[in-house]
Amino acid sequence: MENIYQPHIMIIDDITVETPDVKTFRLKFQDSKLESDFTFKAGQFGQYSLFGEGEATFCIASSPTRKGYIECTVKRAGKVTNAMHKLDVGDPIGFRGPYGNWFPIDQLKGKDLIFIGGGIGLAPLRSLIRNCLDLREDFGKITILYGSRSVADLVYKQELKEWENRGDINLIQTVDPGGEDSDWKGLTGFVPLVMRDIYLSSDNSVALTCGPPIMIKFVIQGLDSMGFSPTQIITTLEMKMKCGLGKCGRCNIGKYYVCKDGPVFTYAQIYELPNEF
Amino acid sequence: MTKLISRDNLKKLISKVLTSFQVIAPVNENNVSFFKRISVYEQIKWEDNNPTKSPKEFFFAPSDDLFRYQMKNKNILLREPSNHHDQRIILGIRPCDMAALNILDRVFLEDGKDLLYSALRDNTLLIGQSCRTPGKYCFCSSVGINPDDSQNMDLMLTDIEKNLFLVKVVSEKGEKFFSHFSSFFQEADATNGHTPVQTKEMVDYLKRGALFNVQNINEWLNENFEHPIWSEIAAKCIGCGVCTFFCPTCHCFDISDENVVYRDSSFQGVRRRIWDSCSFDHFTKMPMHQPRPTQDRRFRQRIMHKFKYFIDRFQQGACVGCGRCRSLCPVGIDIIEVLERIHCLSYQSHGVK
Amino acid sequence: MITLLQAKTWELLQQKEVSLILGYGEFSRKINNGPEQRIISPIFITKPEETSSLVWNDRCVFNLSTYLTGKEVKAHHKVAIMAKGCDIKSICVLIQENQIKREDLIIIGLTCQGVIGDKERPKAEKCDSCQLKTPHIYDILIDSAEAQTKKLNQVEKKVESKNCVNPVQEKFDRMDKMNPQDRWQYCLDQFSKCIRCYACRQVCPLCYCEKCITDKSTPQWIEKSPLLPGNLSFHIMRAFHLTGRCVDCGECERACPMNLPLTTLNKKMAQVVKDMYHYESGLKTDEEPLFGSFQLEDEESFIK
Repeated sequence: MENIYQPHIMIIDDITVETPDVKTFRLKFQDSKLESDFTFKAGQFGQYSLFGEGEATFCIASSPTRKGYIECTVKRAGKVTNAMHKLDVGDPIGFRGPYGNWFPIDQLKGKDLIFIGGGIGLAPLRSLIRNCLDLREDFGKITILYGSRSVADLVYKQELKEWENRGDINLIQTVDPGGEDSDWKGLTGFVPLVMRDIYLSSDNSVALTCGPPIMIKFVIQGLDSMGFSPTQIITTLEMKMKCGLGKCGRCNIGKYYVCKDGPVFTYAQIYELPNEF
Repeated sequence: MTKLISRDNLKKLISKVLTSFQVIAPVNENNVSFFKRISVYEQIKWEDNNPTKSPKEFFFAPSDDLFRYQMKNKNILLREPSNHHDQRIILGIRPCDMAALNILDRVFLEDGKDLLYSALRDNTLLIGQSCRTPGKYCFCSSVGINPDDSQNMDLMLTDIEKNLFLVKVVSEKGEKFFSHFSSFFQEADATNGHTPVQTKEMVDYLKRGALFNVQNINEWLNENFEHPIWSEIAAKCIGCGVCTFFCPTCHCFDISDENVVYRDSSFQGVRRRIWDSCSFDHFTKMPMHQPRPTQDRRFRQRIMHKFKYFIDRFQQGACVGCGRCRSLCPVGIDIIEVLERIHCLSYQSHGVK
Repeated sequence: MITLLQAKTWELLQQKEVSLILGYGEFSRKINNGPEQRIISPIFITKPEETSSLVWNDRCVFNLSTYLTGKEVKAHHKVAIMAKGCDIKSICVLIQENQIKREDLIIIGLTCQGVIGDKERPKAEKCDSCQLKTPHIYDILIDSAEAQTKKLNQVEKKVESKNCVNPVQEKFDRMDKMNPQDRWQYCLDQFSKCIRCYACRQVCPLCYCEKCITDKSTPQWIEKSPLLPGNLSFHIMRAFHLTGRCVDCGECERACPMNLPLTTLNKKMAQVVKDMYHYESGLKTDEEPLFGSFQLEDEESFIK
């Protein structure tokens, strides 16, 4: 039996600077047995340890189809994330997981997928997007609407370019008014407003959204008015977490623990939740 | 199986087991009663009711080491904490605090077993005690617990005469303990029935029955997440952790790295699990977002967790009616007042059931 | 007496002079070994008709000024507060430190012959040395001396026969006389019992920091575990932070569920401040806070 609070040791394999305060870390298991046994699904998250500092919760941003490593995208905000930003390739990090539920990828097969992300909220969607791209023929049209505060705040810039160049993705990028620079070729405007100007069909499609709570709220309202049914809208919720195991008691929204019953929820489920997230 | 033990023999028994077990029993220091590891029988302070502090800290401590770590040249070494595997006896826990273990068990033993908690549960023999008189603030009978409930106990002591206890051998573990120390016990008289001592207050308490109906409260909570009652009651809440820390069932915790010592290029430290409280502002506060920014929301969370969320999840309530939160709240918030008001509101909204 | 209080507060709300009254209410509490217990507890009143629930008697021990810095209370444009002389001292400090404005507040001063302390003490400890039986600052004065004294005398008589000394003063004197080693050991013994429920901090009217240093994590100055290192840091830090500010209202010690001698440290600091700077907190609203002012002749022998 194992100590459920004790993390596995991972080694930083690569660091990508996404924005001035966001970095993506690629981690590999120190133990090769763990590495080969490790599986997860898009949407799940983990508890990342910085020894001497503490733990922080991030989704796994890489695709489950790419074995051998996991990636997490980290915004510098608190004690752990600040320390994490100071790490170099080769440094150890603790990892517990995967925890939580996942995007219902089997139910998404054959459907048109609409991804709507804001800021660093693209991270959990990215796991699923890459998963879907690796199995591209299983899915219908893929539309990605991604926005951030400013051009500098767009994450996964390299990937966005790749997605843009692929013929089989409709990628729409936007930045908040005032966030554009002279080279900006995308749209300008808040995601929920931009969304209203592009045609999104609810027919045989599923919308997956993640971003700041206020964005999610208005995106859901918009999708609702476009005729998406509550079960066609999927999002991930964020609450403060400590254990990730449904024990520490702080991530509940109503009777649901986000760490066990989430983080992925349909709007049909969220609609039933008390308004406290 | 029931036996008898005299107070003198109990003293001898405890003095005897002190040589081979850790014995934890109610004591009183600084005018606060609590459970503590004792070294001699005389330290025990027998009181009629629950000590101020519940025994939960012996299964789920205010601060528990989860593991230790040492970092040297980018190499991390993890070590299990030195675990508490000594055999322990906890003496004098009352039925409500025993019932609280059910709730902790659900959280820590199911769906991802907490090894620390389960080791502490396994290596502890629980000698409980039924209540002969209700405490001033108790309401166990309102939440479905009896003052002579023997659940979770290995042995239960019941006062039958001034210096004589009826001993109910409840579990296999209790039986083993009994057979090992059987010379301290005497046979119960089968014809005599041995009536437990009950004060007049206890008779009244039992006659009065429940002050509210948990089912009604649960149903009302299902529909009243938004209600003026929350801010009305919580207006005076100062947001301290007294109610939650003294509650035998509250189990929320924080995880923190502590005792970190740096030396040259290496360091070592310990990761700990620490009691936390939903009354605190920082409990749910994230860098950019606070889902429970006001005290009424935090107060609502506490009531909802006990009388709705826990029931939704585990089909049992998370309040055992020990009354500690009522007696200790620095500003006199009374959970009975809250529950009685909700009980009345549930009648108003649904008519008499 | 009560009727004057109720009439005055009714008028304040009726004429919309204030939108909230922080006062004392009497509630009944079900107990198992007797009839319902009548307890006093803080009450927030916003409607004129509710003022009939206001009471003032010798069980009104709470210092209500702790609520003045709360978000919910600050949302009101103007509030009235029932306050004893000792409570008004902390209101004074809050005004001095620009946490509240005098003009946003109507102080209902209460003349007080002492309140009954918690935990079977005859009189709250602070009452013994009280110089402010009639408050020093108020807008409305509710005189209640007569009714209150009667009741307290009864309690005092009962207790005198038990030959009871004031426990807090006794603790203070004992600690003050100890040698440094013993005193340190005493502190270790006491503070190891702290469970970090923060009742002391939360009930304290002057612990209004938006984020207490104990809750800060970058860097984490004070360990969260209720173990000796963090407990000591917390309580010593708190005592320092209250130096020259604490008005000795005694609420921290009253609220402490572990019965820790919390006021002892604060009293000592107040004594030092008084000896060195002839400063006593909470007496004047227009005085500079001790740590906000500097004079050339200030004592600085402690700087080494």
